[in-house]
Amino acid sequence: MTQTLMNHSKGDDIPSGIRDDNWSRLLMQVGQQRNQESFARLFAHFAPLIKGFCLSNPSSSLPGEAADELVQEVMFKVWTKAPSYDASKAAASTWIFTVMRNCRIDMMRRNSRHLVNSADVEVDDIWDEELDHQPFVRLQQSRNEELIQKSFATLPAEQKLALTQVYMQGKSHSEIAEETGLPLGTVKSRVRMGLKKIQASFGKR
Amino acid sequence: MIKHHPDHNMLVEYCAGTLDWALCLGVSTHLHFCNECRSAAANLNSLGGSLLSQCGQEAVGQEVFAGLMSKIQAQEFVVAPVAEQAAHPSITNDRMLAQLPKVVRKLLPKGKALRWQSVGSSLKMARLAAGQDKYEVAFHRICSGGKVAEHDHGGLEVTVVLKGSFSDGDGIYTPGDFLVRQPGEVHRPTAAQNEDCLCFSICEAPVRLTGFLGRLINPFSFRKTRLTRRVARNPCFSAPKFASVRFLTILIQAIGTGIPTHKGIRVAFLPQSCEDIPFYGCLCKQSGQCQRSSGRRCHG
Repeated sequence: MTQTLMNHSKGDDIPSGIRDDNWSRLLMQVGQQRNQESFARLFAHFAPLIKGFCLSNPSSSLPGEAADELVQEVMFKVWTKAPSYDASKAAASTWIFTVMRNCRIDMMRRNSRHLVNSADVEVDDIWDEELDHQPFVRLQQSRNEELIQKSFATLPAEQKLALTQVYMQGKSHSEIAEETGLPLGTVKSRVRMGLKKIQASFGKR
Repeated sequence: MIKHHPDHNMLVEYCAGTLDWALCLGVSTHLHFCNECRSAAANLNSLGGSLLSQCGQEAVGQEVFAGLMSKIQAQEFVVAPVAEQAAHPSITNDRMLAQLPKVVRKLLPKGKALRWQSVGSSLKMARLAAGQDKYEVAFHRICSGGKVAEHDHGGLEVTVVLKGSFSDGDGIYTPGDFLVRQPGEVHRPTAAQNEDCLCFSICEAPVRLTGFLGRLINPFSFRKTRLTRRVARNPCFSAPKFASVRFLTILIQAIGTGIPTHKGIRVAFLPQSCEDIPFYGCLCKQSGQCQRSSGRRCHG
């Protein structure tokens, strides 16, 4: 009992938890006060991460300049959309991840051979922030992030890899299957198993 | 109560941004209805966020920040007013289209009414412009108590119920329910008696109607539909007794696809009317029902 209590108190003051709150606070300042100094600090922290995230896909071989451009685009969106950021809904890193994902979808879509320009539905209509603002039961988000980070670290290598490929390299399950030569079912079950283990740490589904 | 959800794989692809655009429309529509999946999606976003904060850093030059700040300053002077979207006439005229999820509303034609096309007696469809051509995105509307012809799927079909409810052999589906049909899953939806059922559907490849009548009204091949209707209207073909139902279905397939077919008959072109079907007389002789002659000879 004392052991778990001790672990718990230890978990509470791990630096990552504090750091996350810090970034979220900065992002709130950017949103509400349009504070450029806070924005510069956010940029210094997140821009290299965004670039690293984008360059982690070896097959896309994004030239350095294009990666810089994407970084600029993402951070520009971060600045303009920051007023709608709500720290109680998501940690700064999660929110910036969604902004980055939407930029990436936009970019991939512009290059897609299936693009038809007749519609006015846009990325922000599909991945709609308002959806996240609708009420639903959930644990405190920043706490979730911490748990997710911890449980992700404990996953078997193959599940970790599969999830990394989906998120960081931006590949669909079938693309992963094609590239790795694994059956689609195997890819799917690795992703599913990984998610199951992570989600087991914060509730059902 | 929503019972049918996108699976974890689809949801993770949606949150990671690797799912096909049209399918994302379906998932987003489902999220509008479903608390549980919204919560799951929030957690999947958090996973993305934690992967972002863990990933290796790549140095970004100072000039990138400087460029960004000048871009921001230039933009500050232009205050873009948020234009309120005018109501679409198709929304105001139709009770079924009131209170649609925002993402679906975006797909309605601007300033125009939706073009509904009848597909059989109980089903109507209206195509939606979804900004891509890989999937066919459409509304399907089944009239209350109506049965849709039994059909199969050439590719993935995703359906999200928007209003009303329908059922098939596997269950009852109510607003928000998210159904995925794989090729080979034949089903026959029936709408509830009390009201029409409106569905949002995303089809990868033409749906194949499997029943005999279904072949006549296959909704996703309009060239074939018009033709087959003409065939069906013709007194010769609508005669009650066919020598062979199978023969007619082969004939219709042959007309639609222009492939070499039954008994060496080849369809070299797509006929403009029944009179143009080269083996018209031939079929009638075989079925023994023909009262008229087209004056053309059978090529076979």
